[in-house]
Amino acid sequence: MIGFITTQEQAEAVNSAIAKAQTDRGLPVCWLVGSYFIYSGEHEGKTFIPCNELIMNTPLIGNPPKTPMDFPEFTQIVSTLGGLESRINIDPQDISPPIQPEDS
Amino acid sequence: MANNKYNLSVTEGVEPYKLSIVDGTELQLSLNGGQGPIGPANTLAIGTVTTGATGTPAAATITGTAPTQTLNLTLPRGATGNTGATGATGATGATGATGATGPAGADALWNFRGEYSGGLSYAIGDVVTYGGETFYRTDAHGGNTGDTPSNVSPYWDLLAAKGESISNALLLSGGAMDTDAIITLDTTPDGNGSYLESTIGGDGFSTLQYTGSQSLDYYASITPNGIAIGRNTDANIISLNTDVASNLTMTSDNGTSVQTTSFSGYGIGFDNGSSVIKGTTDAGLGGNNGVALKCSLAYELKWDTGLLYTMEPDGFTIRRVDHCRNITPTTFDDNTKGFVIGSIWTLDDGRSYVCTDNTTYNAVWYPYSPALPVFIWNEGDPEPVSQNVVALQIQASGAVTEGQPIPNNINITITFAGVGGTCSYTLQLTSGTVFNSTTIAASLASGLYSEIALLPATQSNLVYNYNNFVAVDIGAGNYADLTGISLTCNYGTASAPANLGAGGVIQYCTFIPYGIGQFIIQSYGTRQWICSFANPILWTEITNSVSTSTKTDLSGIVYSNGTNLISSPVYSTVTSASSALGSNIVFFNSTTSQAQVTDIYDADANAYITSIKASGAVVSDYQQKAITQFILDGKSTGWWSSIKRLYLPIWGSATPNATDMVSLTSGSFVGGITHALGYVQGDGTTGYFSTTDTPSSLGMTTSGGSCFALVNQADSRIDTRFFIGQTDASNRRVYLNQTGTSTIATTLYGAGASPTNSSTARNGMFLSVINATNSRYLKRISSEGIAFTITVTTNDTTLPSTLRQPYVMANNNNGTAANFSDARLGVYGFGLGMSSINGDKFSISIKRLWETCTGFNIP
Repeated sequence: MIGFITTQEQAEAVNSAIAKAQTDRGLPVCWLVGSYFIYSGEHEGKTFIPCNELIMNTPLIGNPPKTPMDFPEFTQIVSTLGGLESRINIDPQDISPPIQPEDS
Repeated sequence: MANNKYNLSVTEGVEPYKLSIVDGTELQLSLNGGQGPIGPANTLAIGTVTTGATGTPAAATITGTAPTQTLNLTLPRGATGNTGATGATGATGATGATGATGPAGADALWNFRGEYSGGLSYAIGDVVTYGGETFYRTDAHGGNTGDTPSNVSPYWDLLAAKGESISNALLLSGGAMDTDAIITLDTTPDGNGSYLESTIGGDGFSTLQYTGSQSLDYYASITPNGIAIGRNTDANIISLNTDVASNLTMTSDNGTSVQTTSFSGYGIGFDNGSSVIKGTTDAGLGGNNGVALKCSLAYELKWDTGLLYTMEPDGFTIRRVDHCRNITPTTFDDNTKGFVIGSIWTLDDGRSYVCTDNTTYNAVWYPYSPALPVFIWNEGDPEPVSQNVVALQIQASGAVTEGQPIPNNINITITFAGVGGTCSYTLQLTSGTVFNSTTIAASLASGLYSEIALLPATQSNLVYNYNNFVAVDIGAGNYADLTGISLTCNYGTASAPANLGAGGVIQYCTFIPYGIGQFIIQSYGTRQWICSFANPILWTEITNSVSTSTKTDLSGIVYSNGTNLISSPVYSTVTSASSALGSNIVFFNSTTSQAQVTDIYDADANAYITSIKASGAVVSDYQQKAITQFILDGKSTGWWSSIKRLYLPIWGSATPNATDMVSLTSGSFVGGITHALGYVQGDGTTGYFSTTDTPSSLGMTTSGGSCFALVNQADSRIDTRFFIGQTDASNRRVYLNQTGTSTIATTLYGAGASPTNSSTARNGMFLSVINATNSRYLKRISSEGIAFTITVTTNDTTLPSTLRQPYVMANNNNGTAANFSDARLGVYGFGLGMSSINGDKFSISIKRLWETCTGFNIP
């Protein structure tokens, strides 16, 4: 799983900026990258922002659909997080919350 | 030190040496006697060697002193030895002078006499051929005759024997393989008298087959100019001629009959990846694959059994089939033949049909018309040339300005032009009316100025403007309900069909264009009627493929109160009903009765479709009609008001997929989500959809709530994964999930309210409902039908959730997304409780909606 390691505060700022980019254009907030607490592994306790090809190429709106990479705000956010080259690969298990029992 | 004495011992050899210091100034060394040290090695060089006289003694002297000395020798000469061996021959001497020319020799005796004849005598030197061999006469035998040549004859010598491996002659001509050399190989004629002759040389290689009469039959040749294979009576059957830009020509005409040039394997390929091949499959059935033009992307244009198919790259799926003569599609033109929803079928006369359901043996085809061109021009302007094509023309007799009174009466004439002629309608706008959308709408609605006369003699093309209409009774200007139009028992002796309900009332009618001068009214069930715009107008029942029918006239349409709508079609009139619904047409008679024919329309559906389109999604006509019909069904049945959030994420991008069909509000996709055409799929790790509303804010209670999800493909992992989920610390839960192995579980508020699907399947449309404080059910509809499990529980005392909105493709566990799923979901949402019967109807409508819109079938 490729993405950025950051703090919870910065992750919230990133998602707020993505939401604002949509509302500023008169659109509903239909897409966010999300943020995920890291439960285990080398970066335990930090926050993970996924940023793989699937996410960067998510079709958002229009025909042909625009993707996050078509919006300058997203490119700027990626730059703020250190650029795509600063992404790291973590084990998806590290961000997976403990499985809930079905009836807990 | 002067009086001291020191003794030193030096070991050298075997005898010790002693060193004594006897006083301060002298050093005396006394050595004990014994063997001295080993001296240097002597060298002895050879000095002079002198030969003495024979018989004198040898002498040797050493001169010099050791270690360098010289040995001088004197050696007497020996006695004379024995004679040695003869030496090697010397080099050849120079060539001598040429001798004188000798006398002339006798002539060689060599007289070729041809083929041996037993009646002739032969002399020495005669040469004959016999039995394929050549013999030389060695003995005249006194001129005797009958001396047959053989290799054992005393009179003949074998000069040239017959070859072993070549059965016939090997003829070399033209000299020693110069430029004219030819090697000819002949075979022995077979029983039919034909034989092969192969030649090498000259222009190249060739093999010829002759008949016994020496006439050329077949040939094959390879020359610098090309390759040719043929028959004497044909043009070249196959030739590759380098003289003409390497053309490859295959000719199948032998001059007397048409021959076939056959290909096997993959046909003819081109270097751009396209090809001419035998069709990939027998899609459409009834043929033998046909012949196809196949492009590099594998799409085929196939000619098979006299029909022209346009195929998808799989070689089986039919996009359209043309030139179908006058044969219309049937229920058997289905998925087994390669037809899919949206496939087009066109007859020779141009009529087309579209497949809306490709179910095996139950395919449904509707007449289909392409988009209608519309021409608008002012009176006096040149008219466009219709050329007998279907066209809608609108002509206005004057100009108006929005917001200003209309200066004069303006007639707007609408003309339909088609193969069978034209028909025209006139809409009059009266002078003094202020032209804006409100006044025009009011004017049209009043009917005072909106009459459009249906010209009885030329109305045959009216149908082209009808495309999937629903008949609606508007009474006397009142847009009432859908039950107004009914068919009475004008079926001759037949009784009213049962599915029309009491009194033969048609709940829904769909008007469908059907050929020239006709359209179909289709009831919501299976019955259909054709309306023919003849004079009088005819109705023909075509219930499925059972064409019974009874013809009646338009007077068969009556109000439910029994009053005839139109007493005679000749006097029927048509009017526009509303400017807001531009294609509405109202039938009414000369008095006040009216019936409206309008597009399938629902305001909620229209708003949703408009929103989806605004986000860039392409919504096809079929999808629009499916959505409209879905909501109309819901409103008619009663479950629509129970649905509070319904997402149809089939559009391929996030914005339309996030739009709620009910409220048009938007949820949010978070993390990794695949937006495919037909479904969304989380990545199973980060992707989910947040619905933004809490269950309680949607009106869900512990005695009335529902959630649902259409699962196109379940998560493959064997642990708990949520389709929809919301849990919080107070145990107020709403969720629908797949459990560890094979079951589907759901909870709507409170522990113990978890009916579990007993089916082993985890795919399908799942609906979880709580109807009362002690009754819950979980329904599943799949390709196999509806099944449900119901669990009765005790009263739930927990409060409805007010804090957490449900997530889709994950569970909202106290604000944290968990239990991510990578299932493929086609529809999901929430609502209030609904009866089991309505739950069934809702599930079926969801199935129909999703399948029609996506072309997929529910698992």
